[in-house]
Amino acid sequence: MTEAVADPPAHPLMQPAPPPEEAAPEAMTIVAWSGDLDRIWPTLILGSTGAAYGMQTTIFFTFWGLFPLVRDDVRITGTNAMTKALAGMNRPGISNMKLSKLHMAGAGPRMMAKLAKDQDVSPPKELLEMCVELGVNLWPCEMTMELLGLRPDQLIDGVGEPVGAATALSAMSRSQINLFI
Amino acid sequence: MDHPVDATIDAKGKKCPMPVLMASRGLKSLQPGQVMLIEATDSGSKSDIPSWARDTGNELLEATTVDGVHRYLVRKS
Repeated sequence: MTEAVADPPAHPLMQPAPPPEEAAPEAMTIVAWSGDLDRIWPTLILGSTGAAYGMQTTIFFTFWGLFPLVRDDVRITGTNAMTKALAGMNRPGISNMKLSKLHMAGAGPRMMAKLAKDQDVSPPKELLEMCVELGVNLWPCEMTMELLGLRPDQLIDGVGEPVGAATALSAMSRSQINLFI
Repeated sequence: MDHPVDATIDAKGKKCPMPVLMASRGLKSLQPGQVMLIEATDSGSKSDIPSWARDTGNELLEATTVDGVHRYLVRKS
């Protein structure tokens, strides 16, 4: 008696990609909590690429993550002595972000910018503009804006209306990809 | 295979994620059925452009490398 030998199961990596309607997530939400250059940079890379992927992409900016949304020409934000001092010690603007390590009083980010320029890597400012152009929802957190003394008119063009935690969670509950960076 | 090319995206020299962003932006101005040529030198584009084309439901007609330039033909669905 002969038995049919079943084909061994294909290795997962060898299986064909599932059809696009199953494969492609439809929505991604990133919580941008940090204003560090080395966190906001990958956030903007993933955010802009998500939009290029046709995903409904939202970045919810809160706490230190709000400061990269401030226009570069706004030197001091804040509504009282404490929040003004905060901006003094933590310069707002996408072009003024600090590295989380090897900052070296600003030498680190300058070296990083030079490396990026030499290798034609897009700087965070350009990626932020791409996010706006590609329709990424850039949502500032209303409560932390008030807490830290930031006004909507100090933020770059293309940023959405400030929203609350519930709105952010609502977007996250409809997202297949949720990241906290 | 010869395909008439309706638009060309020059992403040569650009690093990740720019080739995909430029391709996505370029595809928006095309009509369904039209074909876009993307040229890139970033090695990451070899995995990124085919994944992007597949996941966005468009068709990668051809992927070749000539003199270090990766060329992708994508038909808008």
